[in-house]
Amino acid sequence: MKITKSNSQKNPPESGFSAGETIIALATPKGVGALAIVRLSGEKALDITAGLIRQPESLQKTEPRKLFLAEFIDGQGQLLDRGMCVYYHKPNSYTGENAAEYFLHGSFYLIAKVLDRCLELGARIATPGEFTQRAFLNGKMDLAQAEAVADLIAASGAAAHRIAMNQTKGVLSRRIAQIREQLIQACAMIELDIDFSDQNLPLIDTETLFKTITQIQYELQLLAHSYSRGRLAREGAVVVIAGAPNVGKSTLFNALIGEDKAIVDPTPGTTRDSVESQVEWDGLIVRLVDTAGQAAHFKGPDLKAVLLAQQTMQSADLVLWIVDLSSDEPPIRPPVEFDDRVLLIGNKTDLEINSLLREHPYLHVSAKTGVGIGELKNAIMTRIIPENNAEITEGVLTRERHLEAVQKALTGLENGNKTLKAGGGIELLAEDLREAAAELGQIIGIVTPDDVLNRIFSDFCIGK
Amino acid sequence: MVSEFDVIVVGGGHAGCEAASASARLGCSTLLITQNPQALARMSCNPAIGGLAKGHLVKEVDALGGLMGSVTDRTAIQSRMLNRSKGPAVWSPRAQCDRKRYSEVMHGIISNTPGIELRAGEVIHIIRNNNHIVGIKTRSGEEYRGKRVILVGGTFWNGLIHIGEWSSPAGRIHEEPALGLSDDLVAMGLRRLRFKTGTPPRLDGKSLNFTLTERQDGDPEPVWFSDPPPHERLPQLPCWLTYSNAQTHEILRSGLDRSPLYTGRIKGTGPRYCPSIEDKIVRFAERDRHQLFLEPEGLDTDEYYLNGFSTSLPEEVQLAALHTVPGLENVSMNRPGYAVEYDVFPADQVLPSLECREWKNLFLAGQILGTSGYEEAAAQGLMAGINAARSLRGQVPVVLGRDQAYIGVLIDDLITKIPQEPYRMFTSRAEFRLLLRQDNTLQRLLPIIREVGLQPPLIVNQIEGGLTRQSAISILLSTERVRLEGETISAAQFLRRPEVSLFDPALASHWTLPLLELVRQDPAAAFRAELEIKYEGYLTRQLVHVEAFRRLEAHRLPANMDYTVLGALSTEARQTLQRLHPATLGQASRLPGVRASDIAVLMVLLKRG
Ligand SMILES: Cc1cc2nc3c(=O)[nH]c(=O)nc-3n(C[C@H](O)[C@H](O)[C@H](O)COP(=O)(O)OP(=O)(O)OC[C@H]3O[C@@H](n4cnc5c(N)ncnc54)[C@H](O)[C@@H]3O)c2cc1C
Ligand SMILES: Nc1nc2c(ncn2[C@@H]2O[C@H](COP(=O)(O)OP(=O)(O)OP(=O)(O)O)[C@@H](O)[C@H]2O)c(=O)[nH]1
Ligand SMILES: [Mg+2]
Repeated sequence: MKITKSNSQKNPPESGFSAGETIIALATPKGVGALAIVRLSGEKALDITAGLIRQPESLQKTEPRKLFLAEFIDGQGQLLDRGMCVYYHKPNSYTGENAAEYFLHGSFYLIAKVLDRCLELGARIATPGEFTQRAFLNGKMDLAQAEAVADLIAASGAAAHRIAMNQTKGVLSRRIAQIREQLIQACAMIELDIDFSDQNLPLIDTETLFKTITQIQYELQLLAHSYSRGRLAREGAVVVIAGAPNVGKSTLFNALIGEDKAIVDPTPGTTRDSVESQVEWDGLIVRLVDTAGQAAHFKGPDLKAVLLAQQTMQSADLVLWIVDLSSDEPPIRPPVEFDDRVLLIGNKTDLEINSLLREHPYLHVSAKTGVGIGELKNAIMTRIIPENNAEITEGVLTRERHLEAVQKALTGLENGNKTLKAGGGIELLAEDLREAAAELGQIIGIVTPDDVLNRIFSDFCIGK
Repeated sequence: MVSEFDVIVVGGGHAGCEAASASARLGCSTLLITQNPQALARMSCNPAIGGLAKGHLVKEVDALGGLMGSVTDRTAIQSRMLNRSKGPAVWSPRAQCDRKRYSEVMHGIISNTPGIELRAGEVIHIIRNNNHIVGIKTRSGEEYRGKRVILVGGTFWNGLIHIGEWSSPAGRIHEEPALGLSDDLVAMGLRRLRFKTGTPPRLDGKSLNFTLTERQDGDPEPVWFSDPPPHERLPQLPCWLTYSNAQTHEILRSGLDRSPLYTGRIKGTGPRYCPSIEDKIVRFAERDRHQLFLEPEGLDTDEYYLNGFSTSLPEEVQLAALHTVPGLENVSMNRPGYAVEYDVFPADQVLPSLECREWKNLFLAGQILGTSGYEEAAAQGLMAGINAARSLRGQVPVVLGRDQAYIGVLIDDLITKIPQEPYRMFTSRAEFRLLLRQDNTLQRLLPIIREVGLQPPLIVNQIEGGLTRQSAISILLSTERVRLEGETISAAQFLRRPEVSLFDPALASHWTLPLLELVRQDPAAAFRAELEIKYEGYLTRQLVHVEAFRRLEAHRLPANMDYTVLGALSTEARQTLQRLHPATLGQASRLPGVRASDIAVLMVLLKRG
């Protein structure tokens, strides 16, 4: 079928900006759903729509941005579907171009037919992120907003959704713009001192300058800290369950996700490959991973499984290290490198507890009976949500790129501070401030080298 | 009879003298025609050359073979390096000059330059033949043919001066305006604006009481613009500092209703950075005093220039206000301050070579392109002269980059930013300020100096020699080791310490003899080497930015590109790009109304070819 062909074309999104090319894509997820939305953008969006529906005059009769009923037909005039249609005139659309959207019944066959017909009429399948890219290029949103749209599409948890919503409204952009404005203000002070030093202006007050810079540094640090929270919200926290064989890891995993997903068995070494499941607690996505039991004497495939488990632990935000409190054997300790992100859990508390272990600071649960599971969840949440968590969903950094820019800006400021303290000229400080301002500008797209652009637009999904 | 020249320069101001001199020395028969040949390079306003960022321009003009630096050095009666309390990147030389001698020395140079014919006359018309310009015509009816014409009219085109409610057509006070030529250009399809500027009163030194003012001398060691500098300098004179006060401001304020600025008689836009005293008391009402400098106009005159008191208030208000200033209680004015309005032709109408976009072989430069200041004018005049000569010889124009020279920043700003007020240079306009220092002017411009060819081979050799010695010093610094108490470090590391300098006699024992010998032989080279080590981190970072800048500059935009069909561009960008057709992506990115997203679109288009 044509769609798959066009879809697999390695057509970079950049072919989209040439004047007039009209792109089309399915805007709702693939698979069977009740409703499918097909989106069209470009010079010919309205002409194509006129060719696709039985009543092209509706386009004249109905105002833009208002839904109307339409019969979608193929090239021979055969009815494909009865649905709704809406069109937009440039620049008053999401992309800033002429655009249309069709609301169809969600059958794959039918959507394919509609897309085919549009291709016949001169549209081309959009590449990933192309709609948003066009919106960006047409000045409809800045970079941070464009990224947030991508996040919104991918957002599953409520917290992620909230952050993404804020971002699209430009909260991050505004916050960055404010800090950048302060920086530029400080630059201006210095430039005044340099270029008008013969004008008997009041001397530059280094005290105030220091204060301003310190204040800016503080705000940037807050922003940098918000990154871990932002990333957590976007990608979810990875919580890995690990420990010796047969301590009840899989049982606990099942108890936490509330379904029997991992195989539970009295034979040690039951779990081989990691098993993953995603839950949402307090609006935060938690990705739980069950791993194979780890024992020093394992060989062959068992050893491979251990290595895999250890690898999985590396990517964890938090490791739940399980020991069997009813066992007589001395419990094995988690590797020291995880000390800062491990939670020690004593399982099987429904059985008689080994008296030697009674005094140890394990969090007591019984995976089998469910006692202590609620407390465990709370403990997990406390550990994965960073401190000063007081509703910092406003203007939070969610992207590696943002963090990088903020950190570079911070480095610049530190540099400047050092220079100033070492007796360097303020023209050097000016340099550092300018640079920091440029870094922040990159987040909101004031300066956008093409590599940044390309990186951003490559991780969008089609149709947005 | 009609005489024929390779190049005709219309106007003998700072721009005109540089243009004529460069063109003639590059082998073109050159006519310099100006209203009053006795007023060559006359300083209309402040008898001073250089200053912040302007000093950089003068050194660059000198390096490329221009005249301003050496005329300044030969006529300076006080010289100083400004901003010495800050880092060397923003140091700027400034000199107080003898106004009369400056013009005379320039006159001597111009009259003795083979290939320049100096004539008196007011040009009122550009003779053209369809789309070609063929020559010029003066008010008295003479015609001259020229293959290239450079217009440098300063503040004279439709000049109108104002003092209080009185106004009169003039280019400068007591000098005729130039009428007709500006209208002729409009008839040729060029667009014009009206700017204004002002000047303070000139005072009779015999009526001043200097004991009530602070004396300010120049630097003990001469600060030179030219290389090589002259053998001696004129006797040096001090300036004197005094202040306005509340009473002064009160009197000035009482005259505001008769100020042409506030009554709306002046329509032109003035510079925000060089406000008149009446502007200052209105805009900075909280300041209870303003600094005023009494600057000598020359060795043979008692006249003083009152820097900081530019005004166009009625004469009697000016005088009454002056009498409240300490030291000026009994002052008499030789000439009141005044404002002048004049025509300018926004620089988006010229190419980076300063040749008109629409009229080949016609060049514009100086104040008429929207700048203000002798130095800015001289820099453009020089480039126009060089490029007119080059175009005659079929050579590509010399266009300086923003990463190479303040002159590059100046011309690029003019043609891309289209200033809406008189433009003057500031160091903060140069994004690569740390690299464009006044101390390394000759070295950084060496390739251009060679290309231009105005400097004799001897000078070029000397510059090369300086560069060699500089790198010898750098190499020694990075290889030699310095023994300190308890540790041994490289000389460069030692030098990086803020308190350490190659020139500190107390530290001489730390350096080896060959190094000390080099420092003694060429202190300037040692200074540059030291600076580059001290600021290494910053300089390296700027070089990284220069790389990025050059990458954008390297993307050339096709001259025939039709921007109107590029729907992805913003409307504003489409219009601007279509009108100006920037040569490079870098230039495009600096145009007003062109956003980062527009640049992204162009970048994508260029990539696809
Ligand atoms: C009142 C006043 C105040 C100023 N204040 C300041 C200030 O505060 N700060 C500052 O930086 N600069 C100031 N200047 C500006 C400074 O004088 C100029 O920037 C500089 O002189 C410009 O140089 P130029 O070569 O472009 O023109 P000018 O020096 O003005 O020279 C132009 C020459 O061309 C001649 N000319 C013009 N038209 C014709 C023609 N059609 N035919 C023949 N000859 C012609 C004129 O006679 C004149 O000799 C002021 C100027 C004036 C007049
Ligand atoms: N009494 C009791 N038995 C438990 C508890 N948790 C797990 N078990 C039992 O312990 C045995 C091992 O459980 P699993 O969950 O498969 O253990 P595991 O750690 O995943 O084992 P491997 O995957 O083999 O490493 C099973 O028989 C479970 O029923 C508990 O809380 N109480
Ligand atoms: Mg298991």
